[in-house]
Amino acid sequence: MKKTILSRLLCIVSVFSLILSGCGNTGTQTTANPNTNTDQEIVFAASRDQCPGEQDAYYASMSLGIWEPLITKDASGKPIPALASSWEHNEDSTVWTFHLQNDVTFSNGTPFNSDIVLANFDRMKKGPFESSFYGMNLETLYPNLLSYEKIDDFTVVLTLDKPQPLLDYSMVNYGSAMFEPSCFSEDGSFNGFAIGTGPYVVTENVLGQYAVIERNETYWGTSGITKKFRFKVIPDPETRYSALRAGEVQGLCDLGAISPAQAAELSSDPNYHVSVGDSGITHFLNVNGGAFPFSDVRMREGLSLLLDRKTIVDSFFNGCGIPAGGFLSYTSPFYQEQPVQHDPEKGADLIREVVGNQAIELLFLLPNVDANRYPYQETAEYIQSLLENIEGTNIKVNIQLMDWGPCKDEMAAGKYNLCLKIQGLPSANPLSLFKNFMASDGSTNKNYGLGYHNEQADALINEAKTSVDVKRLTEIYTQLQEISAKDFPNIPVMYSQEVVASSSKITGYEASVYGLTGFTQVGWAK
Amino acid sequence: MSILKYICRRLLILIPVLLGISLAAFLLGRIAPGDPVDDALFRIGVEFPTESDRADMRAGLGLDKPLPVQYWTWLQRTLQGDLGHSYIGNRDIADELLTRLPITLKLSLSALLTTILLGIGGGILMAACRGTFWEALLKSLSSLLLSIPSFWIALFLITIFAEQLHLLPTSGLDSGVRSLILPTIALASANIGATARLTDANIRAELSQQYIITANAKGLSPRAVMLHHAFRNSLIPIITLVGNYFGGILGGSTIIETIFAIPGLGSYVLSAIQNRDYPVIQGYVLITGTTFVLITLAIDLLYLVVDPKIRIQGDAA
Repeated sequence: MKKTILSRLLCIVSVFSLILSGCGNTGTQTTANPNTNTDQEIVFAASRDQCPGEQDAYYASMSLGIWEPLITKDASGKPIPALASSWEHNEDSTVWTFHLQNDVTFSNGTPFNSDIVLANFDRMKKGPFESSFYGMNLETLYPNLLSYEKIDDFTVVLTLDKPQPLLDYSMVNYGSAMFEPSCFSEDGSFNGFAIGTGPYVVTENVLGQYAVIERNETYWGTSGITKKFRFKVIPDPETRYSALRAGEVQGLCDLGAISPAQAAELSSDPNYHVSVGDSGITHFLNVNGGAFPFSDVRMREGLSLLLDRKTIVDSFFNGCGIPAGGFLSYTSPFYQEQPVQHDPEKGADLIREVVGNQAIELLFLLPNVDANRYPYQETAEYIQSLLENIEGTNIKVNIQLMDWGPCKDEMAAGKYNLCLKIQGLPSANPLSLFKNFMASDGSTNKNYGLGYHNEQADALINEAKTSVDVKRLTEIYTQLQEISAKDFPNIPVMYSQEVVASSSKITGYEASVYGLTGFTQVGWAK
Repeated sequence: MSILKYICRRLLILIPVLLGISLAAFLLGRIAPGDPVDDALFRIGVEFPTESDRADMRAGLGLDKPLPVQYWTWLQRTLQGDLGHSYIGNRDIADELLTRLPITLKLSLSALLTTILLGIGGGILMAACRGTFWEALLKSLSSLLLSIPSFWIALFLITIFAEQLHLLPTSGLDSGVRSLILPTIALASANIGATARLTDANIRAELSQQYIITANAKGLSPRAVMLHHAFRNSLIPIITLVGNYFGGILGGSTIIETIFAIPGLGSYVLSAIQNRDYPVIQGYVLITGTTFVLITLAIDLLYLVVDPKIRIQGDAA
């Protein structure tokens, strides 16, 4: 009897084990072994695929170093040579000539030359192609492109219908990615791993799980230190953090790699290294300027003066940010510093002038997508307490978390008063930002229900659209930043900073905006 | 033969069920505020869309057509085996779902088996240890499992077994069976508690029946009375409950898969819901609905094995 029960139990356990054993891949364990062998794999974790694969316009994030662009940027955001060694344009910026590096080969041995550039433009014409990084859209990247021609093996000319004095700014990084044409399908998508000229090549890619890259031994520039990297996808921030603490991964990368609170926890631990770097993201307090009370500029200015941005940065973002005084991110090459003003008494006076003692109820929207990534709830509650405690007023603020889709609908319909939201730098040329936020007919101005109208801003934006003079454009952008700091189309709160973390078993991993070096400096610590 | 007829009848019922749930999912998706147009435009490099850009994209995605036309178009394609491409990522939905389904099924089935083994086992133990310290302990444990949300258990397990003890991986599928242990426990925990309590209650109810007095009077051992009589007769409601759990487990896997970075159906549909990727949500509903109905059918067939009365009634019919 006992034997029968035991054998039945064993049978059940065996079936259970068999089912479980079929569940996972038999893949290898990737726990780190802290020696200094450069052949040993280093594992990073990110919230999304670092190689989104064949259907993505770029196949892989630029930071992986699989592909390289014609033009990249320096620390100040200005265009500098990459695969194009130099370039010039005619007087009205309609004809641009690019001189290519002549000693570059792709990882499969194909030489890089003008034909390659033309094939990449041929591919772009088949788009637009979508991407989880930046969409590849010929119309937005190269507006009014008439032709692209080969002059010789290492010279290419782009001709545009209308002047584009800042074309090189638009072409930075993702704007001029170059791939070996044999990896393109007929429809322009990839037909396998992307082949680029970068310091690493993709050797394995399981979407939603991991990607493996290995050093390109024939790289034309300075090779990477580590032979092999694995990038795991761990969407949940808590799990990602645990994976680092458990030693399963040696670093956390990409946007939102680690929360400011987790970074603060790690920064005091010698087993980890936390790095804070620049980011193009700005946190804005968007306001419904089409309706009372924010239709009155005194209300917008008053709220801006009430905000103690340093407290927000230090208390809620653990110091990972910079108080923002102006509309344009400090990482933009056209950034002009605007003073960060904090004068709560003057702010309260201005608000009192506008609302008096009448009962005002304000709706403060928080999009889930950003509130999950940043301490928006705490920031909103802080702003709520500032507004509700102005002596002599009767303001009530209701905070509401919402999916971004419905939130956008409410904003477009003007059914809100405040909304905390991030905005990135879509291009090194900030015209699109100014145009869409500050022009009376700007799409974001309308879609966010900002209700902003400033005739001087409209005139400057119209002038910028046709200007061929970079100096004049720079002046216009400076003026627009000055206007925004006084007239508040929206209220800048802080410039974000990217935070990444790594185990002290590796070195060379620092937070940085996209650049050519990527992971080439990362290696095992001695 | 009658069993075969029964199976065929149940499979035929699947058609209106799937039509119903796909229609419900379609309408719920469309009624909910927000649409995928801006996200789709952003992904092709149009960060600041105009109304004209939106209208073009809406037409491109077929969202400008009346709702009945949209549903009919989707249904026609689906009947030909084509679930279309996702709005976000432009991937073949059928391929994606079929790649992910086995992963979710493995996780769900392992959670279901764990529920059966630990839940029923715990219930039998509770009934057998009546009035002892062990009964109190098991009852408290089952209450605890029932009252703690699965996502909290998941994070707790990761902290203890991966971060502190380094015994199991935090996430992913690259450690074989070990990868599934924590997600399985997190997914099954609440169901284990409920099953244990139900099993205990049912066995106690059976133990108070007259046939048990007869069995005891015949001199059968307490273990034989418990396992062969009381337990067996208490199984029908437990099987029903366990069958119903499967739907809950499939739904619960959405959060668990995201926490443990398991690329199954759950994490896929969660991101589709966030992006209003309607065709993916439709495909998910269709495939999980079919799976759920088939599992329910298997559970119903299990009744025939467990309860001879149902067999006899079936034959008579």
